Amino acid sequence: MSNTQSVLLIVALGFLATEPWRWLGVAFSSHFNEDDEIIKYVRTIATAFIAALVVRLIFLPSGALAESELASRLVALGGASLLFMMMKGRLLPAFVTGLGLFLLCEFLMK
Amino acid sequence: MGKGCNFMKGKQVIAGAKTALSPSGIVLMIAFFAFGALVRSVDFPLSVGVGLTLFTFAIPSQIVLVDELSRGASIFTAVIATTLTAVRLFPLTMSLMPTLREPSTPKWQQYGLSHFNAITVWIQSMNSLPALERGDRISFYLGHCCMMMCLTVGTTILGYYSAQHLSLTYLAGALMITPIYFFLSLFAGSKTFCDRLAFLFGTLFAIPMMIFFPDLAILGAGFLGGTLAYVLGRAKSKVSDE
Repeated sequence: MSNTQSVLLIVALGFLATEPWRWLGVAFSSHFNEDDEIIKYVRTIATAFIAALVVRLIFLPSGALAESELASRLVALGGASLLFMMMKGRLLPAFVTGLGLFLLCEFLMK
Repeated sequence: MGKGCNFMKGKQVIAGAKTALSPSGIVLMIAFFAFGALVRSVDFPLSVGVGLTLFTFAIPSQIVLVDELSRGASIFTAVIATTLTAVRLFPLTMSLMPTLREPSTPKWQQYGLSHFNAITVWIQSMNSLPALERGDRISFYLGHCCMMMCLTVGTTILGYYSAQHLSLTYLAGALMITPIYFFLSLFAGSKTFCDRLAFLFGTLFAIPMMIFFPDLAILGAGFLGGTLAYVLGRAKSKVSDE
């Protein structure tokens, strides 16, 4: 297979593995409006999905993140969340702290 | 898509585009930077990175796809893993559309609009759109999404060319941005009792699910956690109504 063909194949796979879920969402949404109970229910599921995805990214990461220590990832997420609550929801400081804690832990443990 | 959008409102488009430069936008840009670096580090060409950013535009799915393929997984396994991480796009889109569209928005435009929807855009939209007039929402959304896409394509390219200068630790740090951001912004966006429970249950259920059914962890925890949160939230609102 040529290089161009494999690039097109990978991009097509990425598209086909994700886009139909969006189309399905549009199709299923057509008879409802935002105050309907079913939409509220689906929104609740979406929220739980994202939370679960985060947990998986922390415990079973991929790529370069898989080379880091679980403890660093937990400290980073915990520290960022704690600061975020203490600062009443200011994203950027909490975020920078989380990242700083992660790098600090990584450098200390390696 | 431009042709159908003769109702676009310039002011709203610009307001939406500006929110792409909010902290959440910057965080997403760094996440795509990390993705670009990942593509380089597994020796895939830049075109794969840019192509996936444009046509997939869902960072966790892109990471999973590239990661699986680079580990030599079969196309079948890679696609299954990717599509499992993308199932969330279904509830995200199903709950976004009623907030976003107008009664007159044709179906084909809704399918087009849905392409941009993923976690960051969903959180941003659910925070900003309800405060806008319905007629302004699509313009705002498209302004936001198009700006987001340009910037993330840019940072994908930047990440690709920076990869060889970054140590593994910094690369891991850039990848760590995605979970921290999702977690904090979801937390901030969870304003109702139901949402907070969903956040809590999704987190708690994911751990046992990962141990017993690793492939279905997100799906199972999301569905069970979300359902339980919804049922309890309903029960509570009924009690307080009486």
